[in-house]
Amino acid sequence: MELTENELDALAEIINIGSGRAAYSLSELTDSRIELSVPHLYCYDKSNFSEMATKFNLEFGTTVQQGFEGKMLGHALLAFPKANAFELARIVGGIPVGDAEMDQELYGVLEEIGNIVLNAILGSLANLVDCSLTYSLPALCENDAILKTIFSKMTQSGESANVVLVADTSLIVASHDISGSLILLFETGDIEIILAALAVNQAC
Amino acid sequence: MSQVTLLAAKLTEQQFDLLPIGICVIDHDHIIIKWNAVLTSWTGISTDRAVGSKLMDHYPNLLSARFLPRIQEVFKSGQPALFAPSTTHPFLPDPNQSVLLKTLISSLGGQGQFAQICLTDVTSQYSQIQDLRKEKEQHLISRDRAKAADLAKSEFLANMSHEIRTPMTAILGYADLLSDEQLVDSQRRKAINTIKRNGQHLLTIINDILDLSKIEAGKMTLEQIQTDPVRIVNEVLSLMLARAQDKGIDLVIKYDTPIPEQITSDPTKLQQILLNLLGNALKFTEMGSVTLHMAADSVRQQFQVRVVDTGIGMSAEQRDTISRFEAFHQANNSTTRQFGGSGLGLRISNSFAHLLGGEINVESVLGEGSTFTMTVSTGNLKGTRILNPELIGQRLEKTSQEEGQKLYGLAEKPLEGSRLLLAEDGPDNQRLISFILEKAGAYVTLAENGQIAVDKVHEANRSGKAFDVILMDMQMPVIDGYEATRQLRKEDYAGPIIALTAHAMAEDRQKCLNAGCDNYTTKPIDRKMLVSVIAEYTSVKYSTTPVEAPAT
Repeated sequence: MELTENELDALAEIINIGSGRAAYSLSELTDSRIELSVPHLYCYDKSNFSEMATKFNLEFGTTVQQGFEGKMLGHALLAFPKANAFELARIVGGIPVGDAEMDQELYGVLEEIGNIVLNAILGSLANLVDCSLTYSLPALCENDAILKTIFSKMTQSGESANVVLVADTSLIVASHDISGSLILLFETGDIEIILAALAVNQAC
Repeated sequence: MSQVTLLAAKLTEQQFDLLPIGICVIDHDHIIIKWNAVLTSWTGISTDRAVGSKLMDHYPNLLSARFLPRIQEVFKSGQPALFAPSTTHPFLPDPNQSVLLKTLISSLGGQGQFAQICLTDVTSQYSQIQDLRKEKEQHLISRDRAKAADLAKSEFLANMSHEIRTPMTAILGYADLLSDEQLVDSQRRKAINTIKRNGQHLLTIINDILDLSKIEAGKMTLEQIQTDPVRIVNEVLSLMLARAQDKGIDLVIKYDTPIPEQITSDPTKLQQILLNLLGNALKFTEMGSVTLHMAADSVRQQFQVRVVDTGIGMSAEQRDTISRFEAFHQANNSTTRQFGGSGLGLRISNSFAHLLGGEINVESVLGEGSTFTMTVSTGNLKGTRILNPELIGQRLEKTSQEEGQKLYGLAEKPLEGSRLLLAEDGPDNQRLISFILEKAGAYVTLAENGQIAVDKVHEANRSGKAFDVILMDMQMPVIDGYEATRQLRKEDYAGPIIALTAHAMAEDRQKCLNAGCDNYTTKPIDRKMLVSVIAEYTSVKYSTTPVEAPAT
């Protein structure tokens, strides 16, 4: 399904509210000013998954994933290109530059950052549709394997197309500009719930 | 409750304590409901004490803005909170004990009633990572070092091979030319001069390499003896005078301060540094002057020679390259071709200066000239006479008169009539040295090894024609020079023995003297030096009155 520019803008606004909360939490965590913004939102479905993966460089990324269920069902992911992910973790965690391949320490920090950001975004969405959600524990994965698994599981479950929202995210930490992608995968129909809620909100 | 249900509940309770993770359940008022055995062992807080108390009473840090809002959020929205080990340590039993815990707080039972806090000890996992990281870093560092050393070695060998081949090619080429019988005298002379010049250059390179390898192996030994700095500077000056005159360059010496008569240093190394600096200055100066400024600071115990030239100079960049004192570097590669030299001298000089408690500094302006300043330590100057410049002048005049006398003596036949024994196994050297000595007026008897030398000494003593001086090569077959000398001294032979060796190191000199030699001279043979050393021991030295030739 296609979303109109207006709908995408309105959604981006909701996500931005969540980003604000996430930035606040991250600043608390690191004792330094952090800005997190979502400048643009894109909509995909299962037919152009690989196009999306390429566009957002997900093949070689590091991803933190958190599932949610309730009135809406899906997964939220925060993905960074590997180098960016480790740079972010290094700045936030104050961890010296080491060997990225086996750096559990950095993974730990990334997991926490992902947890904070995803909680905030999902919290805003849950507020919007006025429902409570149940969340799975955050998990970290390298490359796009986790995304592929979730995506194939979701597409297998129903005939109709799922909606994937991808947002460019930009994190500014201690004057380092780190960009990543925020990915929201929804079961079919969920997006309508969000859009309906948006329509109500905008009408108010 | 059925028995099965009871058993199941008991099992769950047991499992709760047996899990290798810390588990704590709190209600929405943060009152502890559950506290498992692992937590007790980590924190020292017993289950009895924990249950019913407020979590934040034990860990007030959880009230901070970093943690509290996120814990509250677990109750409010059911969103789990994760605290990474390196960012947070809310449950550390002892702040000095570096236990790393990963903390996961999730909503339990829905409705925002309870939250479960799971703590996983990741200390060993993390320390393994740290170890691996360190190991890998170390490995990378040593690999880089090995690579750099390897590269430097290859560069060194490549350069060295080039430096040695160049003069060698000239020597072999001209030697080949000499075998052509059609050669006219002037061509022959030119060939001989070229061979000589290149041979000397090769010798310099070999000596430099030996010095450099000793320095790099940290095995360069230093003498710390009373050294006359003025005499050394003037010696260097007189050695370089001819070259300066050839190029039409003024060689000037200036005493900027009074100079101590004696300093504690290594005269050979000091001379080598100054020869190098002055040699460089003359090499790179086409017109104008080279001035040596001498100065001493008795408070800081420093002796300084500044070599100021009006030569080609260096750009700031070239000066920086030179200041690193790397092997084989001249200001740029083309200068090597234009001016020659191995590029080792300055590096060796700098190392020597450091060994002597000082350094070499470089200042230069492109096109205007360079100043190389050598500073060395003077050692303790207590009781040393400090000479003012006029006094130095007088002293030098006296010395140069003596030198003049010595040279005059050499011009005659300084070894006229003396009987010498030359113990030397190499036929080429036998011929060369006998030729030099006979030309200086001596009668030379040959011995091919140490044993024959000892026998010939006995023979000569028996016949009443004892040798005036024995010239003893140190490396010889049958018995070597050291052993032959020791034998002779053991037999109370009192005549002068002068060692002749290819080893140019200071400790070799000592080894010869220990064996009983009176003096020492090195191969390759420097004609004037050899004759003047022997002349010191023959009764005819400096004498202008003819001595009767001994009956033969």
